[in-house]
Amino acid sequence: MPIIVNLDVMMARRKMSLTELSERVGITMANLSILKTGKAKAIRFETLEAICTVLDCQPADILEFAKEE
Amino acid sequence: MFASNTTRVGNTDDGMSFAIINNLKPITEHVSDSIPYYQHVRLQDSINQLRTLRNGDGPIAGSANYISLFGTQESNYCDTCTIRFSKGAWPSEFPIFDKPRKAYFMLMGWKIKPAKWPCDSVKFHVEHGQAYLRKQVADSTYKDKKGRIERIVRTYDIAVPFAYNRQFNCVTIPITASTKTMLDYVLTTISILGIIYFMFFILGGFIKFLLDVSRGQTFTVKNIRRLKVIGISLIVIEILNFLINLCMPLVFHAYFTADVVLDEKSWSGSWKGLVTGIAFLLLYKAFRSGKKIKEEQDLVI
Repeated sequence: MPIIVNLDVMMARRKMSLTELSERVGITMANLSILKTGKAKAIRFETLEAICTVLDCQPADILEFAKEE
Repeated sequence: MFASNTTRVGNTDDGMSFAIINNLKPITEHVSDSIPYYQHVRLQDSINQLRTLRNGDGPIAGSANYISLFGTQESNYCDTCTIRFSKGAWPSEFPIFDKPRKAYFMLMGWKIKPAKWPCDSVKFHVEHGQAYLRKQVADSTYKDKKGRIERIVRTYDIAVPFAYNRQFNCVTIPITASTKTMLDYVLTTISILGIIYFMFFILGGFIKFLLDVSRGQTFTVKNIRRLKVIGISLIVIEILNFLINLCMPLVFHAYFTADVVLDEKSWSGSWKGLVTGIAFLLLYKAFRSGKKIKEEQDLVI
């Protein structure tokens, strides 16, 4: 998929674990794992907003568009 | 006591007059209305039993039918039996169980071609071991003095190779006792397998589907598979029934004459099974789409 999720990169930068992020964002570990591994089909604005608030970043820091070769 | 030959005249819908001539001996003797009621009923019963014994068409010694397509029948028969009258005593219950037996293979979906107005209904009867159809045929027309066309309908006994079961209203084929036993085993096995399939895959599948839905496990692979199996099974069963019935004249061509027709009842109810099957296949499609939507929804974070 041309949309790459850089959630693990941002989590590493903020030195935050998946468990802590899931608790602070308010979504399950399973859903966060789906998002992190790039298996998610879509992301709600409210989820994106909550992640950006907790990680103190912009949506572009988490999502990246890469052209398919 | 018994009625003699009859002639009936009338007009058909297209204005043609007709005369039906019946010079044949009645199949079932007419009992005079002048005798006391109790004796009349008793004599009539004996005559009917005698006719059943001659025709060998009563399931007296037992019958079984399978999946509404085939059946076997064993009947007592007696070609030489007569009603004995003694002075002042009317025949009692006719003894039938001591008579020899004949076995038949029943073709449940096939019957004798019904007669059209103004002809009387076609009747099956056996005389001296030979099966006959008593039917009326318009064999000539002529103009009367006033120039009207008149149709002469005569009654004939036409020899046929098959027998007939009046209870199930179906054509039967004479078979040997050993063939009947073998057919009983085969048909019983097929019927049991059919019942198991129906109970497990169709009825059982539907009950399991309902239970899963009530538990909230709606769009699952198992449910989708169950709906598909039920839908396809219902359609295939109806189509198979119809095709097997159509194949009968090819297999038993020696017994099929122009007087044997496919019974409307054997296929007229098929639309119910077909419609139900199609409804289940539509449900299957809807649930398959539902599963896809659910999977996508599950991946929306």
